[in-house]
Amino acid sequence: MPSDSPADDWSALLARWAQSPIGRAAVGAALLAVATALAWVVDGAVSLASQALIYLLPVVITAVYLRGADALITAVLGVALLNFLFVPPRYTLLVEGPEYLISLGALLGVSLVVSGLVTRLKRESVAARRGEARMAALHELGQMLAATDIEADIVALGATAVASALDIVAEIRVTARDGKRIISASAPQGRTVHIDEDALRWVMEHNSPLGPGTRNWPAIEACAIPLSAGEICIGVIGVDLGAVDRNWQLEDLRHLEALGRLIAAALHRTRLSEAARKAAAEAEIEGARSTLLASISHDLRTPLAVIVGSASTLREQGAQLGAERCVELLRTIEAEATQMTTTAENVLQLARLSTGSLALRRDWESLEEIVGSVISRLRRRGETHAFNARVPSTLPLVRVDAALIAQVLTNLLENAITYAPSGGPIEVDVERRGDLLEISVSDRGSGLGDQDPERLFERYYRGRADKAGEEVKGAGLGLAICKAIVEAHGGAIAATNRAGGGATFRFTLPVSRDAPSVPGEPGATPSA
Amino acid sequence: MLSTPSILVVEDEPDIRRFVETSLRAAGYAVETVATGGAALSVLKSRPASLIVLDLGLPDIDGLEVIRAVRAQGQTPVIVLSARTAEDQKIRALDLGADDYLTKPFGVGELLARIRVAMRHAQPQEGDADETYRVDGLEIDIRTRRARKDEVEIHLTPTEFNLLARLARSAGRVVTHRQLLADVWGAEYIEHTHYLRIYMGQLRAKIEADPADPRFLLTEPGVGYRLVDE
Repeated sequence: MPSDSPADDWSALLARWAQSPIGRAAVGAALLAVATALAWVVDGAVSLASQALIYLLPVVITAVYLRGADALITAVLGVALLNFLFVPPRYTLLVEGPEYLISLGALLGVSLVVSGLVTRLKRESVAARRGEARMAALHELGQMLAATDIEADIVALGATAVASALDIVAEIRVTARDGKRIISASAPQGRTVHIDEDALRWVMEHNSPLGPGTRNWPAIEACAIPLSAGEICIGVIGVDLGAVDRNWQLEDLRHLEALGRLIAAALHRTRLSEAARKAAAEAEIEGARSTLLASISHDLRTPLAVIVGSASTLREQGAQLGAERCVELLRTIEAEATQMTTTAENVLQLARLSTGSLALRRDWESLEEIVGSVISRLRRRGETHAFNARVPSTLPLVRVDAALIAQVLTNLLENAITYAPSGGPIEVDVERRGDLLEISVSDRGSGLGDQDPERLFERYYRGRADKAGEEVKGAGLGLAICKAIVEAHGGAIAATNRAGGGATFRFTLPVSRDAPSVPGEPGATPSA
Repeated sequence: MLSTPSILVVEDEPDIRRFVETSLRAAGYAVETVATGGAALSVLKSRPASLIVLDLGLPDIDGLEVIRAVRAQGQTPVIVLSARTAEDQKIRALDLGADDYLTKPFGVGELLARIRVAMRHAQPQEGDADETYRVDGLEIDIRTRRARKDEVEIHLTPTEFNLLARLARSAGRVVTHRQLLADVWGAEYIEHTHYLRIYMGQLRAKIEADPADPRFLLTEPGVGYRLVDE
C-alpha cells in the first residue's frame, strides 16, 4: 500500500544505519544507558546481583541484533559501569572485598558465554537459511533447465542463476556441438566479467577447477570450474572475485560446483536427445528407403514384364497375328512405358524434395495457365478423359514454382483418372478464399471409402482399390509428392469424399498482398 | 530442282539415335547421325544440313556450344532434345536460337510435327504468307494489325496485338518468356514475367472459348508460350 512505503523506507534506512560502525556504537551506548537508568532506579531496593542481571540485557540484545564483537565490548563496558556506579567503593573502579569481585567476575563470564552462544547460534541460522535458499535456487534452476532443449537458453539461464545465487559476476562458455562455435553468456546484465583468458582455457584443457579453495591457481582473483559431460569438458563457469567485496568461502565453491553439475547435466541431456533424434530420423529414412525400393521395384517390374512379354510376342509371332492384334500389343507397350516414365519422374522428384536439394523457382504465375497447360499436356499424351476446368479470370497472380504446381495438378488428375476411369468429367475448380487460392480436383469414382484421408498423403501408402478391385498402378508416391510441394509453398492439401459419390482433393496456395500489376493501356486496335 | 531435306541427328545414346534415324528415314528425310558435338561441327563444315536434331547432354562439348556455332553460320533450324530435369538448359538453348525442344521421352509423332514446323519457317515464304495466320477460325493479319475470330473482329490493345503478332510469326514454335518480353516490351523488361501472365490472360479471355483449356495459346510451363499452327 502506498501509505506504508515512506514508513518502510524510513525503517529500512534506520536498520541499515544501525548496522554501520557509528550506528552500532550508538545502539550499544543507548542500551547501556537504559540499563544504567534501570539499575539506578532500583538502586538500594535490590541487591547488587540483581543490578548485575540488568547489565546482562544489553549484552544479549547486541549479541542477537548486532555482531559478536559488539556484544563483547558491551559486556566489558557493562561490567565497568556496574563497578564504577554501584560497587562499593562507588564512583571508583576499585572493588571492596571478594564478594563483589565474584559478582563482577560472574557477570563478565556469563556475558561472554551468552554473547558467544548467541553469536554462534546466529551464524548457524544464517548458514541454514543460506543453505535453504541455495537448495531452493538449485531446485528452481533444475526445473528451468528441464523446460528447455536449446543450449543457448541453458547457458543464459545458468549464468543468471550462478550470478544471483552467489551474488557475483559470472560467465559461462560452452563449446557448441559442432566443436567450433562458442556459446557464452554472462550475468548480471551489463556487468563485464574480468577473468584471465588463460585461466578459462586452462580449465577447459584440464577439466578441473581453479581459484581460491581449489588446488590450482589459488591466488587468482577468480574462480572457474569445468562443465563436464562424462570425461569431456564442454564448457566452463567463471566467477569474478575481483569485483566483489566479500570472502569467497569453501561453501561458495561447493555451491558453484553444484550449480555447475546441474548446468552440465542439462547440456549433456540436450546433446544426448539430439543424438537420439538423429538416430531415430536416420532409422526412419532407412526404413522409408527400403519401403521405397520395394515399392519401386514392384512398380517397375510389372510394366517391364508386360513390355518384354508383348515385344517378344510381336517378334516371334508377329507374322501369325493379325495387324489389329499387333497394334494392340504395341499400344500396351507404349502405355506401360509411359507409366514407367511417370514412376521414374516421381521417384526422382521425391528424392529431390526429401533431401531438400530442390530450390523453388518462384515467379508470378497464373493458375489459369497452369491448369490449361496440365490439361493440354495430358491430352497430348493421349488421355481421352473429359476435364471440366472452372478458373475465374479475376484471380490474382501467385508466387509459385509453376513446374512444381503443374506436377501437383498432374498427379491429382492422374489419380482421379485411375480411380474414376469412366465416371463422368473430372472437375478442376480454382477459387479465391481470403488470402488463399483453393484448387480442387473432383472425380465421380469410388471415393475414399472409410480410409483415413490423412494417410493417403503418406509415402508408399497405396490407397483405395479401383472399381474392378484390382491392384492399382503407381508407386503411391504421387500424393506424397503433392503434399511435399504444396507444403513447400506454404499451402495445405486434404482429401474428402464428395457429396453424391467420388472424391475431392483440395490444396491451397497463399496469395501475397503485393501481387504485381501492369501499367494500364489506352485504346484498342482500330475498328475501321 | 527439289532435293530431299537432310537432317543431322546429334545424340550420344545409340538406341535413341537408331530409333530417330529409322523414323526420320521412314518419313522421307535423308539422315546423318553423329554421337558427339565435335563430330557434328566437322560434318556441318563439309555438308550443311537442312535441320539439326540436337541432344543437349553430349559427352564432349556442351550442346549449347553447338547451337552457338550453328547460329554463327546461319539460320539452320535446330530442335533440341532434353531431359525433364534440365529445364534451365532447355531455356538457354531456346534463347540462343534453337527453334524448338522435345522432352525425353517423346513420341515420333511429336518429333515429326516439330520438324515440319521448323522446316516451314526456314523456307522463304511467298507473298504475304508470313504476315497472316489462319487456323481454325482465328485470323491474324500482321500488316493491317487486325485479328478476327469466326469472322468477328477482336478488339485488342496495341500491346496485346504486338504480343499476338510475335507469337503468330513463330506459329507452332515455342517462344520463350525472354524473347517475348524483349521483342514486345524491350530488352529492359526481360525480368517482368508478370507482364506476360497478365497480357496472355487478357488475350486468352478475348480469343479462347475456354481460357482454362485453351485451343490456340498454349503455355509451356517455365519456358514460354506457343501459338498452335494446326
